[in-house]
Amino acid sequence: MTDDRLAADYLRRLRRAARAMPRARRRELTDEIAAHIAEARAAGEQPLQRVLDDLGDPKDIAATGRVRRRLGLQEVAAVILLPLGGFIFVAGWIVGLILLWASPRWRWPDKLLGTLFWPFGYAGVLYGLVGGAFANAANNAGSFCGNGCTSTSQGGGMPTWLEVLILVAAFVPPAAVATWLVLRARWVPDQTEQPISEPARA
Amino acid sequence: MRRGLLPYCVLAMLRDTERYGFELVQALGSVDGMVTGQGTIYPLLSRLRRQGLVGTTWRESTAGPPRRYYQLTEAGRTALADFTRDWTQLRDSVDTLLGPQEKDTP
Repeated sequence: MTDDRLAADYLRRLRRAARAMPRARRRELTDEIAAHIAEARAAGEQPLQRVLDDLGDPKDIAATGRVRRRLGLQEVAAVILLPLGGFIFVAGWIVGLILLWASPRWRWPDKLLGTLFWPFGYAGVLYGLVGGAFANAANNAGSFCGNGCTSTSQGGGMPTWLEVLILVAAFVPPAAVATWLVLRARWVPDQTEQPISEPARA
Repeated sequence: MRRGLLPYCVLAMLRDTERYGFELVQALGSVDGMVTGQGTIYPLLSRLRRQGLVGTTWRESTAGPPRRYYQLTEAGRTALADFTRDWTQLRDSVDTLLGPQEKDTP
């Protein structure tokens, strides 16, 4: 592998490992590591592979200052109830919301995302679909056909492949959001790494 | 290297002079047993910056793109001074406790 490819590959792995970081911090980290690699290459004292080995595994870099913790019952319940609780008379969703906002494991942008993704996400699409299916059935039942009727009319509804496509599209975003919330809740700041004496803030 | 000590070692490297990331990592790496995985210094620097212990300044470089220099802030200087005092005290205490035992096993 050429050095350019080697460096690009390392940075790509770092970006992937840091995906759960807040955007600005991830940007800062990848910029600094990229600058480090560029400086080392300009100095030319060591082969690039050695420089990257010294930097260490991108996963370790991205995990610095964080520890992986198991999800609490509260977080598990929130992640399940947020996308699905709406179908338990909406009350399940509201309970999910309360759990989400009460949890210290998420910060407000994540909480906002978790709040918005059900009502503005696939719920509308799904209800549209269910409504469409009912209309379809009603149409079919309502249209009397004689024995000679060879009409292949779909009853004015959507073609089946489109319904399937919408259904798939409807389930991808909540799955993605749920995965994101789990990722964010699993990585928490490592308290043991804080400096012993915090400076008094002015 | 105990993880809790590394932040202070980074602050100490910046006591007398500002340094850019690569330079700082090189300097820390030259001290024995200081860092495993040099890359982990960068998230640490980011945290020290967010805590207001270090500041950053972009400066033109004679060769290549501008460099981001890190320097101690007043809060950083205070934190380093506090740590130095605590560390010296702790080291002396531990030395006192270890001292007699060392004599038993020459």
